[in-house]
Amino acid sequence: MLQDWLILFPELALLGFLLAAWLINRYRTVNTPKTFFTLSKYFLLAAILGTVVFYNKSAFPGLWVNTPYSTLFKIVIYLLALAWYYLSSKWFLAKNKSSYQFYNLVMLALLALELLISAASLLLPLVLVPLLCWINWRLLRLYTDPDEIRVMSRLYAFLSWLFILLLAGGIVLIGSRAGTFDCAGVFAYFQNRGALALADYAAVGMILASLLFMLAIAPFHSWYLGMLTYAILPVCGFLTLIPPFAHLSCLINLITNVFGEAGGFMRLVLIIFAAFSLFVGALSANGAANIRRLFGFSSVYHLGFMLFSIVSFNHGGMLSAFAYMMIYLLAMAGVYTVFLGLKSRGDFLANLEDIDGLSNAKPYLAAAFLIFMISLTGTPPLLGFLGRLSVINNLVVDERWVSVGVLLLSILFMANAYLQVIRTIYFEPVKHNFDRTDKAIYICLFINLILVMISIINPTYLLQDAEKILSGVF
Amino acid sequence: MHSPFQLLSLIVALPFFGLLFVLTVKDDPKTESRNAFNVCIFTILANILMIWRVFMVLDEQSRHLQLQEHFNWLSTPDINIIIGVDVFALLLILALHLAVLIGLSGVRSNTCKQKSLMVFTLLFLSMATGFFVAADIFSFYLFFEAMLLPVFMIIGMFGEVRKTGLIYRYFLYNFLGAIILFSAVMIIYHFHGALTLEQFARTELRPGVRYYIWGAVFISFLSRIPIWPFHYWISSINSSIRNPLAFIITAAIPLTGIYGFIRFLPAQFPLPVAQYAWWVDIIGAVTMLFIALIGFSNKDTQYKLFAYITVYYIMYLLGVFNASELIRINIGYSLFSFVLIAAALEVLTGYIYHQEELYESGTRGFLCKVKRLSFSYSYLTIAAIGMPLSAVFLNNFLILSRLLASNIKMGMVLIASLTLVGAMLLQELFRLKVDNPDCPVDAKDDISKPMFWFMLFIMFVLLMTFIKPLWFVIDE
Repeated sequence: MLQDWLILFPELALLGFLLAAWLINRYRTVNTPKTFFTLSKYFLLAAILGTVVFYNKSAFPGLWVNTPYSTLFKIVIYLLALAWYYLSSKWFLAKNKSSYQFYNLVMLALLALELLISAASLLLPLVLVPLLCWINWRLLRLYTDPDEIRVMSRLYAFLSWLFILLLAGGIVLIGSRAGTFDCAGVFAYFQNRGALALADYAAVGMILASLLFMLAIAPFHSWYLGMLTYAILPVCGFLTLIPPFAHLSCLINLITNVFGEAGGFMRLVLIIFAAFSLFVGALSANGAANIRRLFGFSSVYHLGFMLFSIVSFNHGGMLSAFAYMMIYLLAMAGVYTVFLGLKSRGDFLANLEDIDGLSNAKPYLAAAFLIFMISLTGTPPLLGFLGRLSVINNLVVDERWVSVGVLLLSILFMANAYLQVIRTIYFEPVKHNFDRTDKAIYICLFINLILVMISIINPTYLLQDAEKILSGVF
Repeated sequence: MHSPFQLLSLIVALPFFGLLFVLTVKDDPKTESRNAFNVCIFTILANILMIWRVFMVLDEQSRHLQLQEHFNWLSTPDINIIIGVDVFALLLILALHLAVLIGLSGVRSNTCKQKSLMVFTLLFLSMATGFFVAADIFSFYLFFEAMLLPVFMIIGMFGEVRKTGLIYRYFLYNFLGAIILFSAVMIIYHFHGALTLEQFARTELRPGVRYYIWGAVFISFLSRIPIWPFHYWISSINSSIRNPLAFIITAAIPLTGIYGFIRFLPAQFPLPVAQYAWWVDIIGAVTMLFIALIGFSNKDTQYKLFAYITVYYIMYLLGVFNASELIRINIGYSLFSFVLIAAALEVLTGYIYHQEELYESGTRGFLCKVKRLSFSYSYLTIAAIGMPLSAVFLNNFLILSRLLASNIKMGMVLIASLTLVGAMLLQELFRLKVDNPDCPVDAKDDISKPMFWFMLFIMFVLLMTFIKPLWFVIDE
């Protein structure tokens, strides 16, 4: 009994934060915007410790199972969360606003994502996905003008309900046909089924569609772009950096351990959506005047790029998708750190024209921005090249020449969008007075750049250990 | 031969370390960016010293890449970075370093964003050196693409190109070439493994993919050379750039295309290449004739210089395609002098252009009262047109005779083009030296003494290459 509670330590730590934060908010009179970050930091560290210690132990094996594979993904999202929570506290300090709601919501989201990564039963996503949608909806409304976001808020609520219903429909349908909601049971059902019926395809399609919605794959990306347009910067960063990695893990888990035998159908569906994401992301990014939207479209593009690798449904494909995602997240974390440094008269800048001539006013910030963008383009010798190499190599090994051609072509379109940002920050004269940048932002950028440098010089640090762990998924 | 002290990785890394050092130096109005400039100069000089050292340990007679160094880089896919060098590659590295040094002399009084210029220049040098020492297909591609970023930044920030759209398209167009090469490299890797460049030149490619691979290799390398239909963006950019260093760096890009062909093409053309290579000959010859004609009739000095550089580059390209293995080293000797001449001419042309803007007058008769500039410019022009003042004279004679022997018609077009660009440069020299009483320039507008001494040093180097191309190498 005691052992079960100990195994639940990470989940309890995250829940414990919610309780402690509520108590502090209720009874402590003087709270600074940093109070809840400090609190979240300790509880998050405890969760990381618990996850590492009990990396292969599960309290409720029927609902979720901890494996080295799930632990890898969890640790990555915890570390990313820790970094982003720290940077977010700078936003709350600059704006002098309470961070209570933000940290509460994101810690709850982290708990839900953590469980989603380990899900061993389809009932768990059925509960967690609506919770995550609700958290997103609440995050959107955080410190934003209710009139301004009314349409967006309603649109998001509508879309969320639609995809939750799809997910529920898919899970119920598959559960009724397989006679169980257990992932292993559903896998066995697909294995023994032989030719799949229309209802099976429909169920797989509905579940996949809702996951692609959560991942913001085109054409289900509008909610994510809307969020980036209206939500506050800490929320935008959180939505870009943390949930996609957890959803990716869930998608890989479903593909390999649940719907294995429906591979041909899933491959077709995923390739169509991946190609759509690729071109919607790359072409729309070229027309975006808001930098957060531009990088939002860039995220859509990169997720599409990564999906191309996943559809190989083999060890190499998963490893390259994982490597690509890691590299993408590292660069995106850098980009969002730069966003926190783009301030003029107390306002965080969001339009492309606002950062004209940034290199003159903030040369180090501009240089870091340049490095992250070039990395995202996949140009050597920066880390992004490794991601591109990994994905393209996997496609070449599978001799998927059309996919290789499509991906290489899309890189050009995406590069053009990044060139617009580079032009703005380097080739244009400065138009605004930028506020002083917090030293912590420079420190975070420096650490990120060091990681980028080490990884490109010796990429085995990044890939070899992950490869061993990922091989456990099959 | 293997490198005793990893000399090659050191000459690739040294500019990069210099770059990091430049980033940390103080850059304020008081120092007027001298610190960054001095660090950059010191780094390049130190690297030239290292390159000189590498020449000492190199076997001049060997046709293989020497001083090879291996680095295990990736396990999935299994990629090792291999670098190595021969006399040809090392000559180009030295030429590039000297050319950048010459370019720096042209921007020494620049105070606007000097630190950024030095950073990107050193980054370019590091990547370009890496490209010339790359000995396997992956590292070759890595540096082939990596050098685009510093070039793009230098053109965009310092090129003074008015149409920013041109810079975009120039980058994207070169980027497309690099991506095409990437696809070819991945296919080669898939079917034949991670080959070294020497292995690639000997490998019989799989029938199903050899047309694609050779097509991709040709397109990607030709995309770097201003040859029809790839000439537009390159010529637009080159003729618009007003910063001498930016011009020299941009003008070095076609060199990478020519070098690519030298490394990838085997001694005997493989069948898929042999069937279509004559097309490149025809297109190359026609392009050089047209560019020579346009340069001859154009009034813009910068365009004239670009036309001269392009015609010579295409001649070297045709030399690579048609000449034997024996003539290859002559191309290397000639290219070494040619790069130095083009760089020095650009710096002096930039200086004249700057004075012209200052006085808001024409440049007719500009050289009459400025002796130092007049001497340097005249010497370089005469060397540029192929007179016996540099290695260009004898080696171009050999290349031309070989090309005439292989295809008389193409050789005649080539000679006509070279005559046209020679006449064009002499015409320009005449215009600058003709007596013009209205010219406001006098002796005080001459180049500074240190600059003149530096130009004298370059002229000395050129003259010595005429006597013996590798005169600076002392056999151990």
